[in-house]
Amino acid sequence: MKVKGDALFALTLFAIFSFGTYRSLVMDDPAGGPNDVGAAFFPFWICVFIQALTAFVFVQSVTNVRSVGAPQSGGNGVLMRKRLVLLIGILALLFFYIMVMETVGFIVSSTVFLILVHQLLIFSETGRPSRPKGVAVSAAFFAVTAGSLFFVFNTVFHLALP
Amino acid sequence: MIDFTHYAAALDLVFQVKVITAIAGGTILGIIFGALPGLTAAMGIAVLLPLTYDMPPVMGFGMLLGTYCGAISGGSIAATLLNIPGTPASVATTLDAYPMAKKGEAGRALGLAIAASFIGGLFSSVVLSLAAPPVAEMALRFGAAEYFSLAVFGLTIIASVSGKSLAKGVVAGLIGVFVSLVGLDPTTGSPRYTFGEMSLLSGVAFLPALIGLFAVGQVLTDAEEALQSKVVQIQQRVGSVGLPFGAVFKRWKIVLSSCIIGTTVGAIPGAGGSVASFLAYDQARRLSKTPEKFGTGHDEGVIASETSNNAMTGGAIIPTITLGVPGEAAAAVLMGGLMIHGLRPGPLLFTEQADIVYGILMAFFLANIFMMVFQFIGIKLFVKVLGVPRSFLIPVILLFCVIGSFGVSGNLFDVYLLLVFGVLGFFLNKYGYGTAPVVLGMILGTMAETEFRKGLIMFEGDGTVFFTRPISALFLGLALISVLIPLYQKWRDGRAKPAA
Repeated sequence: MKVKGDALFALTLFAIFSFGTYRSLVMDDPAGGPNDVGAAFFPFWICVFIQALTAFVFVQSVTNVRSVGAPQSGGNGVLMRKRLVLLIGILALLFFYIMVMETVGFIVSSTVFLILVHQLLIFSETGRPSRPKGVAVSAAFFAVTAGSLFFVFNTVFHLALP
Repeated sequence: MIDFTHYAAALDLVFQVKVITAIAGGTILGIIFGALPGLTAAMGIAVLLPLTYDMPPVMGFGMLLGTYCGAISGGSIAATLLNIPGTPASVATTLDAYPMAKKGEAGRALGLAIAASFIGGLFSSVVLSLAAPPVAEMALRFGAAEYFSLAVFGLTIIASVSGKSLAKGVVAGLIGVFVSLVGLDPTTGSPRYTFGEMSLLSGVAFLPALIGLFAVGQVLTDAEEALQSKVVQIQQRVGSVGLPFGAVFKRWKIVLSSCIIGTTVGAIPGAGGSVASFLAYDQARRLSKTPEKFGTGHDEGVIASETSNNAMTGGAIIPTITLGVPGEAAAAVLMGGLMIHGLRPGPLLFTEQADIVYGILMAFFLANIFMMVFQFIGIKLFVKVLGVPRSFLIPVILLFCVIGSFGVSGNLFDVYLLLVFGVLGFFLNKYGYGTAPVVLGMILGTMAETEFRKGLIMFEGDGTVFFTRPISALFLGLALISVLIPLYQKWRDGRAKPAA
């Protein structure tokens, strides 16, 4: 699965930087002086180099799969699913946290974010949620953490948090 | 030349209660970060960056230097007690420290590691103080051609030593260069890859990208790996911990060679602590009268590894502050720490902000002393840190990352950038590209493009100037060698395999 993912990642990078090459070709490209190469020169060549190298990595990954043999499926399928759920869960929570931070305020949004990530990690590790007492203890701990950080950064370090 | 009048002025900047407290605090937090497997020195510095936003430069940077020294040394705690390196720089430490712990000598192994780290750190801080001013003075003579070639050399050597394959390392470095191109073109003011987003006109904010790549990316990797690993159980008793300086000094040849290897490797962009410690370990085995004992719990193995990885720290700071080319991943984050205080790393820093630079050099010296004192006094407490559950640690680190990114400019766009770079960092780590080349590419990309175009304009389009000026030609030659060596090694390995 890892080799497959490697090839897929190389292919994704190739696609992203193909778009980068296209954008460099249609870019407004004035020269900064009589001998200047222009604003699009570096972007174009960097993207082309990345395309060439990711194409090489892709071919190498695919060739390795063939020579080594197709990766075995099953066995650790449950672990793979758990990993995927955990990663998507953390990223989704982080995204929503950023989205609501300004509206809800730092302390409340941070406390909720910390509790949810903590619960997600516990659920992923043990396969079951925490007991209500455990949730209450962690909630109290994270509320104090968020409040203390707000105080430290806002008051001591003069960092304006929402 | 070293101007000692600057040291006198720097004394006033460093010897203040709040500055010393900040360095001490940074060192303690660094030891904690280093002790926890999976949390690297670069990550520790990235996470603690927001604490320094409001501090004066020497105080803030001193705190980060303390974190750096503490984390590299603290890595030996997990290496000794769990056989898991706390940071990549202490991989070689596991080879002898863990067998020692299994024999009931965990306290002795930790004591040796602390003493050796202190000597390595002290040696590198002396080299840093002596070498940095002349290097900066020499770099003052660099023109556009030399800077362009230096950037190319930095990028190629980083790419060749950082990734699991040369191609992947180069891709990662080029991704960093690409990121540095986003925003208004510095020469013509033409927008590049901004997609109409005002926040991108000044380019991709460096710190959120840095924190995303090193901290969020690493946290996601840790979270994923935590599913496979069992709960950490410390099997060995620490016992009493001393500081066996006598045993360390008795192996003065090994100590000296490890110090030289560590500092030299640190000064080479991209090589880092793991390379330094393995090279020093290998050299120590050659110098030893009892090489057969290496790997079985031998004092000399621990001394070599721990001396060299802390000697690496000072070496890595030399190119960072004198040339603006970071010696390793953590030094790249330190460079971010300099930049948030309005200091531009490079030779001009020594002429324009001399007192601050010499203050930083003194802070590094102090950080090494604190590292030894606190790790020795608090070793039993630091060992307890190993038992902190990941489910508490990971959310709090993520929160620090968000605060750090938001705090740079108070703009939520930077926090979304953090998320994007966190995801990128996770996949780059997962598939063996590495995140260090990306950050170094971001730093060197701007230098490469600006100086290349400046050089062409100055020399009326004559591209040969990059090859005809001696220093520039030297850097380009070294760049070529750094690409050819891994290719040659691969070719040689390929030939050796069928023969075997």
